[in-house]
Amino acid sequence: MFNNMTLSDSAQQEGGLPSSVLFIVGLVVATVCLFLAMSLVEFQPTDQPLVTLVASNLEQSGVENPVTAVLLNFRSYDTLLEVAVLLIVALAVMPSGLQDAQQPFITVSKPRERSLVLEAFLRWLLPAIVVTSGYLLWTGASLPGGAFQAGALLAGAGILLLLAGHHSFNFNAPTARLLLVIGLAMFLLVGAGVILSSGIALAYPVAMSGILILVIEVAATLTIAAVLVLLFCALQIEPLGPQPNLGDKEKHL
Amino acid sequence: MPVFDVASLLPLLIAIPLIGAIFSVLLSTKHAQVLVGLLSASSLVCVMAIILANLPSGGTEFATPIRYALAGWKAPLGIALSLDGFSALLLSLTVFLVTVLTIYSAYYFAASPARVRFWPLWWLLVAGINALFLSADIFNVYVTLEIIGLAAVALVALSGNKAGLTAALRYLLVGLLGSLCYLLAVALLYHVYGTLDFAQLAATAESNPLSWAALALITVGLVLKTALVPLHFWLPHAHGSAPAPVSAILSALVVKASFYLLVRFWMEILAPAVTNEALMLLGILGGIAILWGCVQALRTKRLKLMVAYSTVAQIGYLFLLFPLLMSTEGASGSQLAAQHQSALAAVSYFIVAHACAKAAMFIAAGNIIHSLGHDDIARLQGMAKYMPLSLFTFAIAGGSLIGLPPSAGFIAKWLLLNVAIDTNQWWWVVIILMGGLLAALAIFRVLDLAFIKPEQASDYIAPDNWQKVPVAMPASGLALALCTMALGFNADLIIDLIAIGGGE
Amino acid sequence: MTQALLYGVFGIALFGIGLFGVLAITHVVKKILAINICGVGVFMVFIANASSGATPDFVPHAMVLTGIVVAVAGTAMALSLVVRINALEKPEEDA
Repeated sequence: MFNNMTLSDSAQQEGGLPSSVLFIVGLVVATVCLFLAMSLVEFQPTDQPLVTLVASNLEQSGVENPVTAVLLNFRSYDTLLEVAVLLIVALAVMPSGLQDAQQPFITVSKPRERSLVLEAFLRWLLPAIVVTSGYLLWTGASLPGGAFQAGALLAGAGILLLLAGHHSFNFNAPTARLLLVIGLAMFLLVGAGVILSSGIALAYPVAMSGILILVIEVAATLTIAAVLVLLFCALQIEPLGPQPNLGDKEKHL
Repeated sequence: MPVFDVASLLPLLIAIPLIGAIFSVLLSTKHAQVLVGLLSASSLVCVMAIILANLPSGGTEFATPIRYALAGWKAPLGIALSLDGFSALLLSLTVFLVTVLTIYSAYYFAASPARVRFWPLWWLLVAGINALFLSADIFNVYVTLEIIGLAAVALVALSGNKAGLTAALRYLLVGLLGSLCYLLAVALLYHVYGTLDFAQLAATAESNPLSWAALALITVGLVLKTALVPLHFWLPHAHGSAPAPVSAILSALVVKASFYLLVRFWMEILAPAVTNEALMLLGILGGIAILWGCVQALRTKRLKLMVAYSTVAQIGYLFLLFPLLMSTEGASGSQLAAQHQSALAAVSYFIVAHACAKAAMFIAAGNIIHSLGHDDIARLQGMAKYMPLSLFTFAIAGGSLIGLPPSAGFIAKWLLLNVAIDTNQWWWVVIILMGGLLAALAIFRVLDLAFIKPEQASDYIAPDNWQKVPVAMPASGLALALCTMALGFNADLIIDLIAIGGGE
Repeated sequence: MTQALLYGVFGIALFGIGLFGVLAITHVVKKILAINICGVGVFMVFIANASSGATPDFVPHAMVLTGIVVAVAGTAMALSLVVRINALEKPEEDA
């Protein structure tokens, strides 16, 4: 029952398991991996039928980048559920507290200590990041890129904004909650809406598929960026409160 | 004659809970969230009823599952949803339990600030469970497993105390590890067979080292999530420290979801790679689980922990399915198919019986905690006077878990015993009967204390912080417990449903 | 042995290293890291297999992208739980 020990969490208790147990575990893991690797090496791969299928249907998918075509057309249902996964995590780490629900999403205040370099840097960088994020989103149709890359970049902008200290985000605000669900909501809306024309959920009409995929991706980008910033807040800001964040003192606890 | 295609209703079973989740995030007032919950639950019930009414009924000549190709792309390229008898049964069970638990949760979380996050997570969990039962794609199943795992962990963590958070973290790490084992198997299977679709894999799978490796990885990953005995260590505390409706759905449905997948892989998708020895090994672990779970249930001091250990034991019964699938020498193909069918029917019945009984028990335990503020078994003495409904529910559900005659648990064990005797594996009979005996000891230990005679109980008065619970809370538990009784009288319904689209 | 196969075998090796880490290390944060290493190993197997043919297979690429997002989600959740448990930590309570 190795997992029973997971919470002896400070560094001093490391190496809690006796070495004989470690040896047995290592032996078992090594044997399993050896067997897996051997069977992988022995096996001769057959032709992959999906390679030709993806290539031949790419034209009807509405995008030129095959990865985007798989993610948002052929296997769009996986991506839909993946956005749901992000929503779950956002809800799990969201600060609880109804009283903040009336506060605005973004509040601007004087930072405790100003970091002039970061502020100057931010003034230059922020517009560039937003534009680049939009470019990544747009280019995802034909080149590597897309909602996740764009969302991650946008989240980076949000995190820089937080670090500068002038702004703080309240994720219980109605706007924030809308941002968190808009990716999933838009995906469902489009997925259901296309039933009117094609009769099948998530099956975009060929002529419209490019634009519909873009609409979904824009919404997904907003949600991804919001979720990532929320994760940063939940993991970074909270522990700063009770303890002073001095690099040397952490280790002794 | 169906006027429309039943298959086109399948995506609704996933879309409705997702929409419910979106609205419960957006509308965070108490009444709005409850209203959204009730609307989602009732529309799920309607959709499921229409689907069940339009299922091809009768014999095995309609033995093809209903399929729906999402996004209009056929199987190797796109993802299909599929529904056969086994998944239809589990979906109906899900919809039914979710409806009852939604009503219960509306009261349970009425005064708790945790409700703001409970409702969206609840509906996301339901969407994940439905999606898993409908999925016909091994990678898509991975995503649904993660939805279920992460949502379940987030719900366990709602309790907010240290024990709950610790249990949630352990549950999460175990779940992530299990999913990764599964995902590695997906990579291997895709490499070998070039498809992710259940039916296409089942048609091309053969017995080679990579198939064995994949099956072993899938089994380890999913057994970790199902909590079969050597890997059950995370379950009692995760289930025991979650809020009551969450414990109920975790024990009743979430562990069954990964068990369902195991059955799919062992009976259908990778059936050629299965050997008798491997089947026997799972059976032996199941047998150990029954005895170990019961003994632990007898020893624990907390009521909810006892119910959770009883889940460990009940999971053991489910794994008795596997040795009963063993092929014997000289048996013809049709004989083997019939044997598989009856073993699957017995275990499906077991799943339903256990789900209803266990949900009822967790509801009863939740009510007891709600009104007493603790679930220390020793301090329950004489409490039947104050909480007659909850303890009555506990007694009926307990009767079903033990396997006392009019209940569904009895029929389930009876069917299982029949198959065990038919396949000449009498030793399982001994284990099943011993398991029943031990479960009886554990449950009567509680009932004996709670229903103790009034003159002896004069010392035991309700504590000061005693709170009365709204009558709907014990009533929903009682409804579930009575369902286990009703199912005991209507066994054919379930057995017929399983026959559609067969496990083969 | 082709290059793709070599990557695949090393992917499995990474999975093994991660697996050993999860089982052997008691420190929570390192355990979470070990799970991530495990995940990277699995993704590598996917990608290596995808490139074993003449033209790369794009479906595993998409699956890995999905997998990465799910892995990020799981990691974030685990870390947030660790942070919350740490905040509640009291010396009197049993471990």
